[in-house]
Formats: sequence, C-alpha cells, structure tokens
Amino acid sequence: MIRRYAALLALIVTFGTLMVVLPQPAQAQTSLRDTYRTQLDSYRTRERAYTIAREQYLQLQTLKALEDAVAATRQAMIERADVLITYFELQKAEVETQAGLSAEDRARLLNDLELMIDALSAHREGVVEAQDRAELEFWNVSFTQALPAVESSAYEIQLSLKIARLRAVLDRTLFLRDEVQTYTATASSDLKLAQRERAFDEIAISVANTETLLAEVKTEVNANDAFTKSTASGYSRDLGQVYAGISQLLGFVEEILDL
Amino acid sequence: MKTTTPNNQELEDELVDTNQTEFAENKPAYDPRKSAYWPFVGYDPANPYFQERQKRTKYVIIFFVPVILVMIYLMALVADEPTEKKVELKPSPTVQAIPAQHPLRVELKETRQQLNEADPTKQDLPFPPLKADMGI
Repeated sequence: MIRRYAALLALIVTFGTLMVVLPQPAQAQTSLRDTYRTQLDSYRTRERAYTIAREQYLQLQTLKALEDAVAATRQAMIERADVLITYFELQKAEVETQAGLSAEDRARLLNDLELMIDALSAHREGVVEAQDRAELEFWNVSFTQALPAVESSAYEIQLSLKIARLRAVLDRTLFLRDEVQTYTATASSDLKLAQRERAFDEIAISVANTETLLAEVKTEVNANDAFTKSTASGYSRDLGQVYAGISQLLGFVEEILDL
Repeated sequence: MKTTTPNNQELEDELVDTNQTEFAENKPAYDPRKSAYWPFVGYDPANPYFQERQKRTKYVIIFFVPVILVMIYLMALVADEPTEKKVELKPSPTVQAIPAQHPLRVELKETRQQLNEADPTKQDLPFPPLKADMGI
C-alpha cells in the first residue's frame, strides 16, 4: 500500500517537474524571439566593427590591420549565420503550430526549413574553421551567391503562413455561420425568417468569392519559385482582399445576430 | 369719541340720524361700524341695514357671476388653440435577438480578434537586414 502511494507520488512529482522545466510551445517561441533580438543587436555591432576594421586595413595596409580585419570579418560572418539560423528556427516553430496548413504543405515547408538550417549551420562551421583571409573569402562568396535563395525561401514561408492564418480564420467564420444558422432557424416571425434566409444567401455568395480569391493566391504562391521583397508585397496586397472579404462575412453574421 | 362697542339698538339709532346739533361735515365721512364686516356688530337678520346689504349681495351674485362666466367662455372660444407639441418619436430600442454574453457573440468577437492578428499587411517577422558581401 505504501509502495503504491509512493509510486503515485513520484509520478505526480515527476510530471509536475517536467511541466515546469520543459518550456511550453508558446514559451519556447518567446524565448527564441528574445534570442533572435539579442543576436540581431549583437550582429549589428559586429557589422559596424567589421566595416571599421576593413577601412583601417585598406588605409594602413599593415599585417596588424589585416589580422584585425580578418578577426572582425570572421566574427561578423558567424553572427550573421546565427541570426539567420535563429530566424528560420522561429519560422519552423510557427509552421509546426500554425492552423490552416494542410499536412502536405506543412511537411514541405518543414523540409525546406530543415535544409536551410542545415546549410546555414554548415556555412557557420566553415567560417569558424577558416584560418585565413582566402578561406574566409570562399565562404563569403558562397554566402553572397546563396543569399537570394535564402531570402526567397524566407518570403515563401512568410506568405504560406499568412495564407494559413487567413484559411484558419475563414474556417472558423464558416463554422460560426453554420452555428448561427442552426440557432436562428426558429425565427420569431415569418418576416425575420425571410430576412435571415436572404442574409444567408448573401453570405454564401461572399464566401464563394473569398474562397476563390484565397485559392488563387495560394496557387500562384505555390507555383512561384523565386520570391523577392516586392513580389511578396504584391501577394500580401492580394491577401488583403481576402482579409476584407472575411471581415465582411463577420459583419454579415453580426447583422444576423442583431435581427 | 365713543370707544365702546355699540349694540344693535345704538347702531339703529345712529342709522336713523336724529342728531340735529352736528353738521354732516363734522361727522366722520366713513363710519366703519356701518360696514357689514364690522366685527363688533353681530349679524342681525332683522336689522334693515343688513337686509339691504343682503339684497345687494344677492343682486351682485345673480347678475355679475354669470356675466363673468360668459366672458370666460367667450375668451376660451376666441383664444388660439394650443399648438400641438411635437412629439419626438424616439426609435424603440432594438431588441437584440441574441444577448451580448451569448456564446455565439463571444465566438464572433474572438474570431474577429483572430482575423486582426491574421492581417496580411502586418509583418511580424521580417527578413533581417544583413550585409551580403563581407570581403576584405
């Protein structure tokens, strides 16, 4: 009897400890954001130091100045890689928890993110182990060439997340519409019943338009291979129309509740 | 001057003025004791003075009161009809079919909040501004 209670007590204590020690998903994301902000601030300082050291070397042309410049460059490149790795870790955390993503899309995005994080980690390792200016230059060139693809991947994931968020809200809105339709099925008068029927017909038309628009944007985003800041802004503007459509739907539902 | 309260006999004597020694100019112009409201004079229905007063009062009531009533009636006819007050029709308060604390309304509010968070124009996590080329 005592052993049984002791085992139960140990289980409760272990579980409670794990709940406290292990970071919850939201807490983990918050701590990752804090890490990202800290790394970004540190990188900016290192970038300034690199610029100063490089200018000094170009002016002085001494071995000491070169040594300082190489050290500053190495540190700046390491911290640049850290910033990007943490950025994609943040995106990965969002993709894992975001509602509105299909299983296929989620798997594809997570796969892309894993590849990106691995590539950046490898770049970072290479920079850390670089001994001289020539090796650093090699990693510098490879990063410069890879950066457009890195950016494109980031914009694609951002857009996918925006589409997923709108999809989740639209699904919730449709569910709410169905609930309201069921609840208001017994109207107090024939007049109200007729009004509500007309309102739901209007909602159906608005839903169809919004769904079509969202599907179009999603198809275009999936079909696009290369994203830049301007193309991402364009798709965001298109998604703004979807946002307006959902807002209108919620307004219609609210009006039906007020009937 | 007499200060004692005259009795009815004395008053009657005075009414029937037999005083030959006093001129009218010397007498007081107004004798309050002759007033029907003289408090010290008790009402005596047999007193001809009071009877006369009563008759006069009756005539006044019979004649003047109807005249006044007719005048009031005529004034009412002639006067403008009161303008009707404009009654401001306030819209009757909208009776909400579903109260504010109903789960459907709460759900609506939360959905709208979720929509605000999903605003595509908001950039929660922009791509970090990084220097591409770090050559020496």
